[in-house]
Amino acid sequence: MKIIYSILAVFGVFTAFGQVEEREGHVQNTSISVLYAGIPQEIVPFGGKICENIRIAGMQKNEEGKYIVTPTQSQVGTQLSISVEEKDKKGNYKVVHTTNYMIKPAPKPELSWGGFTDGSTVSAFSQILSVGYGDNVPFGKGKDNFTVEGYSIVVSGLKGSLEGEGSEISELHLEALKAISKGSKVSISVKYSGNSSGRTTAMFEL
Amino acid sequence: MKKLILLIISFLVLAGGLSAQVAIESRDIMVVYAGIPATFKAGASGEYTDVIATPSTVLASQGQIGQRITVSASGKDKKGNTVNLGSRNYIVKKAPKPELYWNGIPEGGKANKSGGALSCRYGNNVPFDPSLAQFEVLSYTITLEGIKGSLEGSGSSISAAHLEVLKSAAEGSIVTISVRVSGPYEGLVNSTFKI
Repeated sequence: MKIIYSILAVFGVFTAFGQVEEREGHVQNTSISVLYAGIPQEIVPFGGKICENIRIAGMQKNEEGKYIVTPTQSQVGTQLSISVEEKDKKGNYKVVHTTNYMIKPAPKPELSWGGFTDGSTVSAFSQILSVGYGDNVPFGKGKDNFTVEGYSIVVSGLKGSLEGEGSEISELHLEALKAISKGSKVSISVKYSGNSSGRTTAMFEL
Repeated sequence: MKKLILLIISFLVLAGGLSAQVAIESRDIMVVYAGIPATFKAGASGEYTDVIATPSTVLASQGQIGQRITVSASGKDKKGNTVNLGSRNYIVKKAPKPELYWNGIPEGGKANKSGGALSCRYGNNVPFDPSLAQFEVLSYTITLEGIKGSLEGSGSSISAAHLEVLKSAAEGSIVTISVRVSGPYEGLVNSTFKI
């Protein structure tokens, strides 16, 4: 009978602790279940009887103790299943939850000309063309890594286009832009690569 | 007696083996977009029933951009009492810029001059279902190399006169179309096409 009491006592303690741990729910935004190719994203497992006993299957934490996943471009359009494993009493891990994420191509970046963004009136001429993310991408800042490979500038009223390589407008082209009358519209289209690749265009007023 | 002990041990093993509900969170994507409906669901471990997310749907306004929206999970315990099971904060962001299509041709494509339909929509690189957003093209500005000034018009269709100008442009020349749109994203959207 003592054995039974002992077992029941242990069970009582276990249950009490279990209830404390269990009082944790979770919320998921089911509209957004995606991961972006080429963007490092943090994945966090949570819940379970004891949170310390869960881990992401098949992944190692980085030096900062975080699970980071960076899908590749070849995974775009596919689903990535990420599973949580929980350690049982014998110390063995078993899968207790799986979430499927759709892999999407990285969002399109926006073009800036010397810090002036799309639709701006340019008050100073700069050679620098850069592309990056604004504040409307779902992930945090600092995850963009783009290179401008070339540009094409069209000015209203000017015959032909100014074409160049790299992320700096050539001296010659810059002089041509400086000579254009105020109020003219200039469109700059650049080819970019990095987190994603493609073309993006911005319109400026001189 | 042995049977009783075995029964209790079996029960304990079973209880210990049952996992409390776990989930995965993508910490980088804790956002809600203004003008784009978002739906939430909640879950909790075994003992709770009727677990719900409040609110279960959110349609954030432009005025909420930069603010945080809290979504809570709650459920009923064994006694039928409603229990708060935690919450998550989501930052409201401005909706992404859509992409501009001229006669169905996207940015950087070879222009199809047979028609002047201008439309904006999301591609597959937005984190939500692209069909959740609809845009209206209010006006356009066309810049064409070699043409002095710009061609400006209202609505989502290039005027017949402007289309004639585009049709007469030299092969290989570049045209930039900038449109003003309304919808979840409001502002300018540009695309460049090759004639």
